[in-house]
Amino acid sequence: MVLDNLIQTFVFGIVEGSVIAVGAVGLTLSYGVTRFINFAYGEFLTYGAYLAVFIAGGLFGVSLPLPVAIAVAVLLVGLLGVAVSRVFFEPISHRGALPLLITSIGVSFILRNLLQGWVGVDARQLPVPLLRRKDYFGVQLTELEVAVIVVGVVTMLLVHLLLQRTMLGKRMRATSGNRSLAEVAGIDTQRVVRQTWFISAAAGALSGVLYAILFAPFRPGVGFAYLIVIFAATLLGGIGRPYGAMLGAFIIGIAMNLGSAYLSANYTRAYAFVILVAVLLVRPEGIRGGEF
Amino acid sequence: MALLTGWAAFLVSVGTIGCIYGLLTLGLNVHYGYTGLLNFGHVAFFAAGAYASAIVTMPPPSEVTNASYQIWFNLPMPYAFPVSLAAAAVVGGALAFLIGLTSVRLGTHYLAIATFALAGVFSDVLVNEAWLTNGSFGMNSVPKPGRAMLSADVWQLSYLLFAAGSLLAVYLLLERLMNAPFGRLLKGVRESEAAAKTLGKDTNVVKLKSFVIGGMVAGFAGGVYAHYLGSVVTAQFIPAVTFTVYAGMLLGGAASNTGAVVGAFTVVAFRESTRFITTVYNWIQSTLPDALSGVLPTVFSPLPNNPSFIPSMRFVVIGVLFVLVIRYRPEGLFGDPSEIQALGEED
Amino acid sequence: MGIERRRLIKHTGGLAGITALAGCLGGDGDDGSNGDTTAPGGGDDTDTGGGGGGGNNIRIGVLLPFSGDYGWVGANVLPVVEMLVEEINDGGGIDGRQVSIVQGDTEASPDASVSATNRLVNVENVSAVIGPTSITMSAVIDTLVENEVPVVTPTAGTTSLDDRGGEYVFRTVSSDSLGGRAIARAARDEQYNSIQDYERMALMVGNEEVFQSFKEPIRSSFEEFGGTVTTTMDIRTGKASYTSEVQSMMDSDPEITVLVASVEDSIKITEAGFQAGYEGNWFATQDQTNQDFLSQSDNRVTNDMLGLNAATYQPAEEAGRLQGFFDAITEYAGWDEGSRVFATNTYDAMNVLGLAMSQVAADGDDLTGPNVAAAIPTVARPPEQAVTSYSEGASATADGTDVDYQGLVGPIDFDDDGDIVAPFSIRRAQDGAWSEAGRLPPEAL
Repeated sequence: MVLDNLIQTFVFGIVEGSVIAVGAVGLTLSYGVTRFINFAYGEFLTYGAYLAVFIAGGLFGVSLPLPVAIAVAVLLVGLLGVAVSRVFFEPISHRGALPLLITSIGVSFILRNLLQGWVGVDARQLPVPLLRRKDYFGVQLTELEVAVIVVGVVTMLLVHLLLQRTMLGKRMRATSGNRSLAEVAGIDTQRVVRQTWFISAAAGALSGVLYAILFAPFRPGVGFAYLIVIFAATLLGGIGRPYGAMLGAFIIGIAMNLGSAYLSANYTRAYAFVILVAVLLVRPEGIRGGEF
Repeated sequence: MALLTGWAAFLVSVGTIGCIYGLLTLGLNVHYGYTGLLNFGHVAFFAAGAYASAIVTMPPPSEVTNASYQIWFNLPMPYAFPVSLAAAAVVGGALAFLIGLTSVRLGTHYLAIATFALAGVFSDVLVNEAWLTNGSFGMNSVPKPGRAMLSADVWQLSYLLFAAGSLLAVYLLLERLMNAPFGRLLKGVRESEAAAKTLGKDTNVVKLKSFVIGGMVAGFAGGVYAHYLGSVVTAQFIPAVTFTVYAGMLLGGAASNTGAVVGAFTVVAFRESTRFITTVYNWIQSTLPDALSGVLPTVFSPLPNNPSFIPSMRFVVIGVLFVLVIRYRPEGLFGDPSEIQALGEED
Repeated sequence: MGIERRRLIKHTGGLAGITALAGCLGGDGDDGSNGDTTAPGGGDDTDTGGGGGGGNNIRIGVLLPFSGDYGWVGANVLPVVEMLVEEINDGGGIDGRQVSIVQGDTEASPDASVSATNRLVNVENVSAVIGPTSITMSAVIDTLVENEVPVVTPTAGTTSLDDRGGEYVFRTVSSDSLGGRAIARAARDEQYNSIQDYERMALMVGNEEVFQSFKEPIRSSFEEFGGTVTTTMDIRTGKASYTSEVQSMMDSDPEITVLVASVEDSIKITEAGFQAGYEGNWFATQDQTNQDFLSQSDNRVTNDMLGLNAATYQPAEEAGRLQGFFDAITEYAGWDEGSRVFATNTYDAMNVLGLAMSQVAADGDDLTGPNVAAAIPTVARPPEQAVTSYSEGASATADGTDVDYQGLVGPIDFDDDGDIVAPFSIRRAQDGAWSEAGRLPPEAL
């Protein structure tokens, strides 16, 4: 019984870790090529979840089936990411990390409050069925929770293949390693940056949709509130390191669930940060060193 | 005889809040403007000061509705006022010391996120530890010094004068400090850690001192705030406070104390003035001749009709302010472009 | 939208007026504040006498959330107040003075409510306040009482008022301690819930004042009625997930779980229970016993769920007064239905307040806070002539008759703490709709 509970809680941590991992990978990829932490990243989660609700709910005239709606929402947010980069970040990209970082705070205020002003603060839900948990090898999960894990794992595999097997991945790694050297080598780094923004924002949107599937209902502040959890995973894994971010995400997810179940349910977020700060004290570069 | 009516009373309260934000901005400016420390958890020091003042002066729980706090000192006003403000500054500084111990040696991004996250943990503590903070009910009987002796209006005016005096005192103190060798040391750390190290300075200690000074100023602001409102509640201390203070500092000009104060007042004035948008709309509408009365509703009808529209737009403007200032005038209104140059550099 | 804008315009028709008013009334700026140190005199009236006709209005503050998550409370209350103020003014006002309304938006947040209250009390010098809600009660109650402002709230059930009111603070809504007792009674006894006699109850309560207020009454009453409380949990509001909390609740193996939380958190909690295979039932308070909650929830989760609501007051219903009010307010405010939450409570609150003021005027006294507050229980309690509206009562008080106001939510006989008793209705959810499962008269508690 005690052991069952422990395993169950652990698996819940993995489910939530999948959501965090998708978001953390997206964030860390964009850091790799832009070299600043994007505080507007949480809004990509929010926009992903809201757009999926709206597109599935027929707000734009047609009501698409949920999986299609999610795909469309993820693509749209990817484009939004590119637009945000072109409008707000590219014009000041030569000025160093600090102006970019502060601009990203402004962008997060703009995006979040435009959405909130438009749709209000009412709580929303994705039209997903409510299911009872089933037994999978002694662990109780709903089919949606299993799906969240699967989507998380597939996303991480895709990111792995992207980085290791495609030209874009090689260019991204090159740009991340040394931007001016990459340019000398004939890589159109601006193009790489935009493509990375697309992937990063789309991953954020997907993470937001997964979050919305697990934790409905939600409000326009949802992405900003979850941002620090994603930050924790990203930093834990070593900033700019996709594999580290994945590992960090599962550690954070499991820590939050174990802490809520066994210590106090009122400090869920805090467990993530305590681990983060502890790791920073011992090993400021994160648990996983090395580039990409 | 009443001194304050209508708009005058409103302006006095906006002015007082402006002074409190001015103090907050001065504190942040020590961190960011002078030392280059990207502190995204400023609101935690503000909250720490406000709660310290509340705990020092709150009456016993038995006299208060819905009380669950177990620590109170009930020091008598008005003599406890300076003690309370000192406590606020000390607790604000102590929290800054604790957070700084773990964080100041981290690089820009790690510091930004660590302070942001620790401020989040601190706000969790404020909500959850009701024995200390009275939880989400808040401490709502913080005494207002001198209120018993003065009429409401006179008290409001006196408190504004006190807040303005405090702001001036802190301003002069910081101006002096920043022009002293210590101030130059802070700027030296900001501009080149390596150079400061070769001069034999422990940059982490310098940064920690800067962190504590700014935290004390913010804590002090919290004390002034607590005794002004008479009410300290967790919901007041949200991340938006930190970023509003940033907006004021960037607008006024980082590394300029004058800029910090002017920027803070501008942002507070803007925020408060947006509360009158509907009033102005209705006033215009009521003065228009009947023939034109359909014009405004037609112009504005595409806008969403939800009560959060105007509050949301307020923050959109603050966001735009961040973007525009950084892009077009990074030194703000009063800053020195050469100082800002140094801020943008990474190690 | 049309209605909203129209109302705003009508309302601020004179923002200029209000400002000017404040200017004219400058004289009594420190009246309220000195109230606690000097003898409460009639300064209010004499000072304003010189203020001129336009500045002679009696101002009533409406201190409620008009924006934010609880904006619906203000939206439900304000039109009712406006309708009654219009009735009062059409009848010549009180003591020859017109009544005007000043809004104070608490935004359901303590700090906004503190500034709104200070503005109403110190700047606008309101003669009385309708509101506030439980959410901001702790933040503002001391200011209001210290300044001797009579308060009649149609919206605050919080138990923190249980032993505080009666002098300046009154309410036309049942205390949560009665509501909590009603929940315990109804859960314990099949005749009220139409399902079973529940013996084992778990209690999950949000960590905000508006929810915490129910906790102790439910817990102690349920034990008093012979039940067992398996666990009492404070839950943090606004969390992403309540899986752990629901697991601990289920570990205590209750037959029914009372859920005192926001609609949003309640959806998360009940769905988490469903996913985890919770077999017991749920019992909710007024906050969730509405269509909004059911339409956002899955019927499989909410079927058989129990909810607490105020019951209609039989005499008011039988005499057709309830329907009369619904018809009047739907026409006045353009509502779809008159039975919005707090509408009838507001009708009673404003009538009582108006009658108290007209009683003070009839006695030839000044409309000071203490005088009005003292008249409130007098006009609401028996004996003497029963009246059911302001107009009816005002003419009676003018003739020197002591009146006893009979309201829509109950007979409105304030006890020594300014509280009323009213019957409760127990609702049961079935296929996405609430229906009445039982009715609890005050005697059953």
